[in-house]
Amino acid sequence: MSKISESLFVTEIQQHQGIIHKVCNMYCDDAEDRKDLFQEILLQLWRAFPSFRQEAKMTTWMYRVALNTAISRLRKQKRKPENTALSISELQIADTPIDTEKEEQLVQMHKAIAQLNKIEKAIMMLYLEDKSYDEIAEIIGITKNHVGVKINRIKIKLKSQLEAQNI
Amino acid sequence: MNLDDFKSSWKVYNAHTIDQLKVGKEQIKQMLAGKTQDIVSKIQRNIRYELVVNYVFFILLSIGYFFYPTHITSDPAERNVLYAIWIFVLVTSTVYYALKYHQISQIKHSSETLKVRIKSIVDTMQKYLKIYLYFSLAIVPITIFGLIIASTDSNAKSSLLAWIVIIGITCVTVAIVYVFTQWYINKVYGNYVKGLKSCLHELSENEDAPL
Repeated sequence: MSKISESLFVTEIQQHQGIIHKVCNMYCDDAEDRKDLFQEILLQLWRAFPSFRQEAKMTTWMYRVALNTAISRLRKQKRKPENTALSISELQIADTPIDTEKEEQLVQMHKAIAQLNKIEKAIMMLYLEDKSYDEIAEIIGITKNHVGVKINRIKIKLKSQLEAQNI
Repeated sequence: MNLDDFKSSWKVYNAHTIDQLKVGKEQIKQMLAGKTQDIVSKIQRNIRYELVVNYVFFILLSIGYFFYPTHITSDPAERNVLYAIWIFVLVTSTVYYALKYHQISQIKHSSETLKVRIKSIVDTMQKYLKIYLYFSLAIVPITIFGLIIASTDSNAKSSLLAWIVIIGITCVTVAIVYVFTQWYINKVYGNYVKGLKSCLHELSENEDAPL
């Protein structure tokens, strides 16, 4: 690809890289894994960039490629468990006053989300990002009705997990 | 804490962590020079390596055939049969590699929707792994049979017992190849395809269920 399109691509990625980081955080256990997935998503986006049509939103297209890459990648066999949740220290955000009880609730919520399967994680992430049902349907490839059914089920699942943890 | 309350905390948390993880233009450019680990590229790379190994092996055999013929077998007729078997193996495997390569390139790109992409990987991988198993079952015994014939003494070959042993070894080889290939496929791709099948099931179930 030409230098102009590379430069355009890099600018777009720099502007929207948050999407890739969010997907990596959702699907990776450690920093090294996150770095590998970040690069893989970047390469897949770069490969798909020439076929990107402007009628779709750049962010929708990026979510699609990023989630596809994260979910369909062939991972190296690891002994570590796939679902790891964040600890309180990882959740502590500087300059953000959050009381201890809320912090604990946040950790439990992250833990509960980490227990979801890959598809549920994808839908939940898009839901938490305030994506419309239409946009979620466009990214995942299911009907708007099915998105609603899924979200309701995930909510129930999370609620029962949190109740089991006495939150 | 319900999900809607969690949304705002999620956004604050992400904004903070992403700020720490942000990469610059130069880093992005460097990453673009890397090699993809995507399933399609990975398998296509393996196919290319296997094809090269196949041709190198054939070249070595051709050197033996033309320059050191008696090292292979003293009987010229047997030598020709053996060489013909190798040419057959080479041509067949080239067609097989081309077929595999084409098969894998049918997988939809990651810019498709999640469901389309996963379905495409599952369907293609199932066909690909079947081709892999059947080809291994067919080609390895032919090769082993050729090698045994070439390395067996002409007098020994006239006895019935020798043929029973040759056929027996070939049958055992087929069984070993079957078990090994199944084990290998399962080890490398088994869990992967199984995981994607469960994702696909998750995307397909009760699609029209009421809200």
